Amino acid sequence: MARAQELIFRLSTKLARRKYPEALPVRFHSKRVYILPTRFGVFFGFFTLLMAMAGLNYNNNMALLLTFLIAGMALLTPLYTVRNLVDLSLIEVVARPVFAGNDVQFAVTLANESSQARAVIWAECHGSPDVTDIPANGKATLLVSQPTQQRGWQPMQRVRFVTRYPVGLFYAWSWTIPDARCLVYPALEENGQPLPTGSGIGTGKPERSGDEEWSGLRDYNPGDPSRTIAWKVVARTDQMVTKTFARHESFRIELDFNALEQLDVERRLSRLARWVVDASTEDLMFTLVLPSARIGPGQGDEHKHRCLRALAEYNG
Amino acid sequence: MRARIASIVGGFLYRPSPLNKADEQAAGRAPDVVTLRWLVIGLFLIIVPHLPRLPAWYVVALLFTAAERLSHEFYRRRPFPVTARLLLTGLAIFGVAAHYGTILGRQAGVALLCIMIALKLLETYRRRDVYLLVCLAYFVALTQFLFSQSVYLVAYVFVSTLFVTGSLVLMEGQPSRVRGRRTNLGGMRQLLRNVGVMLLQAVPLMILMFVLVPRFATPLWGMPQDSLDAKTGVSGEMSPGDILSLFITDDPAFRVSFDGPVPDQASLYFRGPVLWNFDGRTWRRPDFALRSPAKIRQEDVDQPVTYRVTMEPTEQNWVFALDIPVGRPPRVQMQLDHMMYVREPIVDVFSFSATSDPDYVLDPELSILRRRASLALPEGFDPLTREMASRWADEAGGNARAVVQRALQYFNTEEFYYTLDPPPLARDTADDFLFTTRAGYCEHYSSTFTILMRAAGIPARVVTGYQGGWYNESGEYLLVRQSDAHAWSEVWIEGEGWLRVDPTSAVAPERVNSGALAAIGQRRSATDYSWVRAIRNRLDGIHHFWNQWVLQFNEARQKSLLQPFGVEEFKPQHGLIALTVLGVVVLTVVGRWLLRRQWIGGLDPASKEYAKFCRKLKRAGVQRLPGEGPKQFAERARSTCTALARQIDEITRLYIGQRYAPNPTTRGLDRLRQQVRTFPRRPQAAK
Repeated sequence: MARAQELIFRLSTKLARRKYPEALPVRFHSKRVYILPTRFGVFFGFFTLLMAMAGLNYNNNMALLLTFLIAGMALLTPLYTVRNLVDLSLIEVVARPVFAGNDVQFAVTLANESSQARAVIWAECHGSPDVTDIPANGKATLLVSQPTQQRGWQPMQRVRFVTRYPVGLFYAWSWTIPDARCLVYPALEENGQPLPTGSGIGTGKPERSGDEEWSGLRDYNPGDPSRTIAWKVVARTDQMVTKTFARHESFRIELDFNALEQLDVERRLSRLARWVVDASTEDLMFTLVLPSARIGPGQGDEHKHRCLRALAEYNG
Repeated sequence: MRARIASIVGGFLYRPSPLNKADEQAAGRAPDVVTLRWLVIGLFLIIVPHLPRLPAWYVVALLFTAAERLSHEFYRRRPFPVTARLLLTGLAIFGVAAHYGTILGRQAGVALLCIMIALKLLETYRRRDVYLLVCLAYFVALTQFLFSQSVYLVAYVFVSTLFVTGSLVLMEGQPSRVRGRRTNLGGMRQLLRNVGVMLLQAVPLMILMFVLVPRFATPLWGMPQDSLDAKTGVSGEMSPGDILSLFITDDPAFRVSFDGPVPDQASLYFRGPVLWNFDGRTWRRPDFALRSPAKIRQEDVDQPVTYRVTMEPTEQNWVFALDIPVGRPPRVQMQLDHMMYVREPIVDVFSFSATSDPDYVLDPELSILRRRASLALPEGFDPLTREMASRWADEAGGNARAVVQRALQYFNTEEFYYTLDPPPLARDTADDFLFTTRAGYCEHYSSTFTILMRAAGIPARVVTGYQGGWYNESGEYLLVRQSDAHAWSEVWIEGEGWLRVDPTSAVAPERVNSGALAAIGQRRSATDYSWVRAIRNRLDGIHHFWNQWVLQFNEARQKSLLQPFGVEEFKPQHGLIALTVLGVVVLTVVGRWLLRRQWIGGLDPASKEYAKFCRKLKRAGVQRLPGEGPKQFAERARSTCTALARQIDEITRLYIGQRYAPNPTTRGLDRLRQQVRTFPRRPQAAK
């Protein structure tokens, strides 16, 4: 049965009119909401039939009344299920960049512009589905994940919104390919080379000894490299404290695409991505050099993401 | 091979509890404690009406399994082991067999169903287990109607169905609840309301299906015969010395709608089984020789009373008709002694029309066989009674009427008491009653009187049935209860046939005039007040309506359903076509209502109020431009309606607060509402 559902799902994809991304907001009009009984729904149908046969056979009118009440309710539930899904709007899709090979999580926001609260709306993409209620005149965000293979801008794949509310006898669904994309950074090189060393501009070699001047202490911020934590002070005072250094321009490192000519393009990008992340973790000042651009020198998260984005978007 | 079978059987019986309970519950694959609790409540409600029929240990079993399963949601424990579950199942089946003497039949079958529910609770770890339990619960609810079809039970089953269906809704809503993604869908009361609305919306469909789904003229399979069920009503036997139980119940026996005026209370004798044979202790129905059909001399019927009797199920064959019945429908038989009966026991509400003539002469001639049967007395019983009777007969000198009078006078003048709680009688029941205890009710009097008559050489027999009843003015029918059960005598007198003699009335005339309850002059139980009885009598009208219009709906009625519309015969295909068409209509109507546009124009309550405010200002010639912010608009409005500047500012401030503040308050909204309301309908623009 689960296989049959999957088959129907696939068939609907083949037959569906919408094979292209749709611009947001996407509203799920009743025309694009489909509905079928669930496995339980089919079983329940047979079960009520059985109850009706028993009642009819003995002409037990009370038993028939009960059976028909339940059957009537079962016949009404698809209306409820459709109502629960219809006319919701997909208004926003947000995704944070990920490294290739990891799953991207799209945060999709559904808006409910009706005075009827919606319950238990599932969003299914590839990974584990997410579920939420949506209040009347409110919105809610669901997380759907999708695997990534290669760097670059990856379009969001088809997402299906499903609901079985209220009793699970029927499931209604609607699907869309939202016009949304996610930036995928190059995969980080595993067991990569250490950061290039060298001093001065152009050498790509950092020189730390002596030239990095200890300038004071400050409170620990999450994300500070463990190397910079003043462990002695921590041991003495029980407070997380970070050492700060005054740095000179001359200790910048340069991560040069062209310097890695022994590798193919993707491997180079992978290694550079690893170095960018490492340098950023080490809190170093660095410059990324690509054939088409030169980013930096810079430091910090923003700079890191600019570099990674450049690597992701690199096209010869 | 054996290992394989063992693994299949084992896999079937044993499902390991989910490794990660929280994940399973969040995904909706396993029920959480909220769902389970609700389900357990629903199951209890469904089972409660069955409890009196179930063995006493069942309650313990159900409580135990429910507690056992629920406790798993609070403690990290292993589920109940398979071997123990198997053992319990075996024990339970054995218990049912021991309690009912069988595992077949109606009662034992229902008991097994209930036990399945209790045991299934132990292993309800999956969504589909919940589904199975819900279906079982619906079925158990259905089986209640095999035992009673009271209108009250309908309301009860509706409520318990509400709970069971509610647990389906909870199961479905569980994932967002467990993940804390639940929004303002309300609590349990809201849930009950929602499900209740859903069920009420299903009522039109239910009525359609009830009326239009083709009924079977003949059942596909037979009725379960369950000899273990207690039969109700007049039993067809009478043992005056034994303990009574019939009187105690106030349940309705049958209802009678008269075509003409209702006969007066004292002549409301409803004839049931006629008892001829006496063995010294028990009166019984006659031998087969005397069960031949009655021959009615229609020419002698001069004052027929016609009426319709609607009987509650009795599981007996005989039906009751006003004394003396002379006309009957073909499906009802009439015996020689004018006892009426049907071929199959009455297991459903049964209704028939009949005619009676109170002055009909029953048996002007008495055959030898019948005379002998109505004079027979067992040898060696009641010597004192027989002696007294033969003395009376000698003194009367063959005048039968005089003997009857003498006997009635005896009951009247001597110290006899009418009581529903008489002392038990010794071996010679009549002797003991006449000369020692002298306290009893109709059975004692009619039995003793009949013995006296037979001993005096007058053919006599006992008639059982009902006497009296309560007339429901609004429903225009007579309600006869089990407590109206009665027994009287008939004596045969040359030239006059069988005459009804009610010896009880000689002792307690009020028994005949106002019923057995009035005759004993005291309350029988804590709730036995006259006003309680009055309310019960009024409520009985609902029952009568229910019996007439719902319970008696059958294939025959369905056939005549469309006659007013010119369709002579209702065929199954008519029903199905009509059902489809009307069902679609109902679903469309409900669907339109459910799926009606529920926009509030994309506006939240604050914007709605603000729109009202803008409309008011428009009348003063200040129209908000598209894209104009509230502050800009307020400025323009202020310059036009200078007198209202303060209120315009206030409304704008409140509106902005509601719309754009991080957490708008209901108080702010109320104030905005109030300000907009008090804002002049037609603001004056400054000159």
